[in-house]
Amino acid sequence: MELADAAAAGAVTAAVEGRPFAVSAVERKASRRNPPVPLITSTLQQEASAQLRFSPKRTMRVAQQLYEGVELGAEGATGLITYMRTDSIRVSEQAVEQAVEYIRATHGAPYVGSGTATRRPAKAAVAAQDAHEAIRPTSVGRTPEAVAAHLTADQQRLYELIWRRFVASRMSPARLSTTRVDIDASDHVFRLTGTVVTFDGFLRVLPQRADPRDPELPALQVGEALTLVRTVPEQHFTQPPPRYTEATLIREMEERGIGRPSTYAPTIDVIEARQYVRQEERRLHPTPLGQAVNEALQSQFPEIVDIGFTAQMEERLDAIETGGTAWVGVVRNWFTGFAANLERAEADMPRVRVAAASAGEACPQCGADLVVRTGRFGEFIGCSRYPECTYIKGREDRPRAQPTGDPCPQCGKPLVVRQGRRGPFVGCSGYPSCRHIAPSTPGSGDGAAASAGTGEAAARPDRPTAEPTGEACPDCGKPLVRRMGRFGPFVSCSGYPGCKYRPPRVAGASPRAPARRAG
Amino acid sequence: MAASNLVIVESPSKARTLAKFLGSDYEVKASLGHLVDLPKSKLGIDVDRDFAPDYIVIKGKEAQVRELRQAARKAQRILLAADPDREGEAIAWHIAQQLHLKDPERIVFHEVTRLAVEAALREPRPIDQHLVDAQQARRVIDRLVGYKLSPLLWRKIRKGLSAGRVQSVALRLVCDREGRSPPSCRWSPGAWTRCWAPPPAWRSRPASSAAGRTARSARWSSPTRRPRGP
Repeated sequence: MELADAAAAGAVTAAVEGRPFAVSAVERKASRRNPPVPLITSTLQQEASAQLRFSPKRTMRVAQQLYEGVELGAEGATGLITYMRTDSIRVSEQAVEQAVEYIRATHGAPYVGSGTATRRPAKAAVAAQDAHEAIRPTSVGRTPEAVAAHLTADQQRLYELIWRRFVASRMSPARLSTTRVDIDASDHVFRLTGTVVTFDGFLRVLPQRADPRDPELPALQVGEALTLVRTVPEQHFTQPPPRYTEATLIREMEERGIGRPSTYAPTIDVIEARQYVRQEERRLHPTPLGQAVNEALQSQFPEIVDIGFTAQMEERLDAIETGGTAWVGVVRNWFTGFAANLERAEADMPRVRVAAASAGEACPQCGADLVVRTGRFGEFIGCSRYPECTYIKGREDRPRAQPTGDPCPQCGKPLVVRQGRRGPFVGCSGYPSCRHIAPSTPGSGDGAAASAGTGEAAARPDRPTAEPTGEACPDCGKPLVRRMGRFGPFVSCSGYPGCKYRPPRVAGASPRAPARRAG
Repeated sequence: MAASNLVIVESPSKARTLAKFLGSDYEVKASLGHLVDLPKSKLGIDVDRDFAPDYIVIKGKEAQVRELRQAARKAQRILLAADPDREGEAIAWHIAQQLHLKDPERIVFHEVTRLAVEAALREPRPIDQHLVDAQQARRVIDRLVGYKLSPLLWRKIRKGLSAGRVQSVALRLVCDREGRSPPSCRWSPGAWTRCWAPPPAWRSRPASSAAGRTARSARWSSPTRRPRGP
């Protein structure tokens, strides 16, 4: 129950302030929490996003590696997980037996569950009385620890997630004891609830974050007097639904029947690649471009963006697959409406200009407004009269290619400094017929000469590209340097790409087997 | 002596794993995904002739087709082992056509393990045309949406845009969340009051270990307890 407004909250506070507080009721209830069902494509992508911060694309790439086979040393090569594009939660009998055996041996008989989780399986999974299977380890006996040495860091993390979830799905429910305490004060009742795990069950392999609002309660008895510390009137807002993350968008798509296991990851990938949406603190925001496209489609092609219509289409495709509906009929049926729609839109659809935000300045070349636009390398400020006027702010003091004064070691043409996605680099002015690019490391052969000639342009002060470690490469003798990679700093030879040496990781620092990368 | 059985999968790493199980009687080759697809440069669908797709060998895959044909000529038995779904079935079907196989044998397994593959080898089946047709319908509809709708967006909004059957609905979902009203600054509904039950009260009970206990906040629940029971 909640109070209507600040005045009501204030009235309660005033009424109980200074009055005695006493426990009026204690109620204990036993409850159970059921283990989750095994993973399918959509839930794998959601869990990997929440727990590992993997994008759906990355999840599927790593899952595919685990499915297609990993070399396990003496044991040979084998696939570590079942097929990763599935919407079935079925598990083969042998796999169930194996899991039960493992749980009994490792945790004891009370931890063996019936595997009949009550959670409603996805709609598609119910219909699928087929040979498909959930995503699970191919052998429960291959624990994450046992195979860690043969996996990359990503593979190891994803395998552990899949392995734990599957084992948990065959374990017994957790048992909880929930206590509710009512506290009377004046004419008001306050309530406390607390939950204690009395038997951990599946939680033993799948620890879950405790609900911070449900802490363990001290043993309180009816009639016991309590002292008021203070009253805190709280305001809380009705929150609109938050923006989607990649994970919640996939859940929404699955619930509404949009897309299938094979399409979730590529779909999210394409709307990001097209710059229709962008991520901000992992939330998906539509760009002005995305909104313009969406509005155009909503007004001109309502069926194409209609959720029910698209879900129905997926079902028709499923019907071709299972019931043998003729595919040409399904396509024709759909195309008749689509073709008419196309014709109508060709005539009616207004030309839309994607609103470009004004930069609040006039173009120094033609006097028109400057606007903020989005290009391949991010946002830039350019003239609103493009393409008549091609002015771009900041470009005049940063010429596209500045000669370094050195000749190209491959073709003899002058070397120039160019702007790349990762900052300036030295390349041949003969590009694209000559593709020479100088190594970016200061102090490594010809790269040193090239960057020396370019001054600060090549070595950006805010991001040192390579820092000497003081050690020499055991393969070629050049100095080892510390560089910044996509996954953090790493040490490698300054002779790269001529020398590909990377020192093995310190044992224990990461489970990744260095041999896989070095080879 | 050449292997008498040829197994074709879509991916080289899957081929590597399979080769290790199957021994020298089997040669395992990868198709590297689809061998044929609709052409990139044009619609590739004859709308007036039952939407007949004009499949062509994907640019750059010609050598792969030649290599598979050569291996197929030497083999006595050819098994198509692409992934167990619509897409995999279509890949197997296209391979069968490119290799002119009369009675293509398809095997399916959900895990690339010795036991699963051996079981699959004992149960070869013909290609499932229903699965293939579902893939064809999806491919054709996606192509028609993409190739008919996108040019319209280029003319009316901006070059290089794209629309897609699933993609555009996903975009819509994201945009729909924007149309929401900003959080309102109201007290309704649901202010609550907290009272803190402090350690001193509990400390009075000798049985409980008082140390380390902290105050808890109880939420306001209701005005005046209703009398319970008779």
